Amino acid sequence: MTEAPDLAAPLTGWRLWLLDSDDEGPVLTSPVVASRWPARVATTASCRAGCERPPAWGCGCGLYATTHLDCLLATGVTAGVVLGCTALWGRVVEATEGWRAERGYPLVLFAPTVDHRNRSDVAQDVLWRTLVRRPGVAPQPDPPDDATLRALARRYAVPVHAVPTLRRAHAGPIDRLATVLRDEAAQGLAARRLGDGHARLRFDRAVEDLLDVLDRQRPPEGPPPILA
Amino acid sequence: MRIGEQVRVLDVEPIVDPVPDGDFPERPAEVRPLVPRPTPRSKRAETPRPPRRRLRALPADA
Repeated sequence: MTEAPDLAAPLTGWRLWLLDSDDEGPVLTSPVVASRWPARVATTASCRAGCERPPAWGCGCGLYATTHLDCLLATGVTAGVVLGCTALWGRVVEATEGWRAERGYPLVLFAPTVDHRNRSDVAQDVLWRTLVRRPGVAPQPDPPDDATLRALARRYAVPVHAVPTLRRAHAGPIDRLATVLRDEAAQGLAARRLGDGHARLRFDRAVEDLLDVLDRQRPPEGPPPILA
Repeated sequence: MRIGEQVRVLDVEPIVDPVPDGDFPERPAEVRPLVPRPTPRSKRAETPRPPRRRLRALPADA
């Protein structure tokens, strides 16, 4: 007798990656542990404590994602970090503000570029050290250029968008649109894969609405957005 | 990353693989270029039309 799954569609949540690179191009890595998210293959959680099938209830292992974008923007997001909506499936521990999952793969990525007009090197460095809690990581890299973002999109086969540096003040206005995008990313996944144009349009509009709000908060002299 | 208090454990098995190449490994995944949404300020798109044919008037006694 087999047990029916609780859900037949992936859960979706928001999380952060570091933008690293290897011989094949840009790669997403975890900001907490030294592990890479492989391209075009589901990332499977592993546990350093030896859990048989992460995530375990009594452990902190698993692939993390939050329900709302507010949780991630409490400190701000800067260049070198990639914000994204990720699919989660397999064994999933549900929490009040997010999930820990067994498997994951990004669905859409947003790469912040430094806001040059109001750039403060000291503030950026403090933010970088706050976000990256992994020892042995180099100082904050230069903001990704157009070619890097396009290479990232091709490698992972997901859309990548450039956004300005996300500060804490942005969290409230964009959270509602981020939730719409997160829901659409999960609910329309099957239809988009089957070639449903309306599902693709709904997803694209959810992304555009979020980008519009972010661009309106960008200073007038800031660099133009780069769409990959 | 803080995700709050744990609630329950779910078993999630998506019908459609969230990995782009998961369902059709032989077909490479494609990323569609983002088409900007038309706005009231954007110019009207020109629809390609064939050249108009001039109709020759028929004789009155035809």
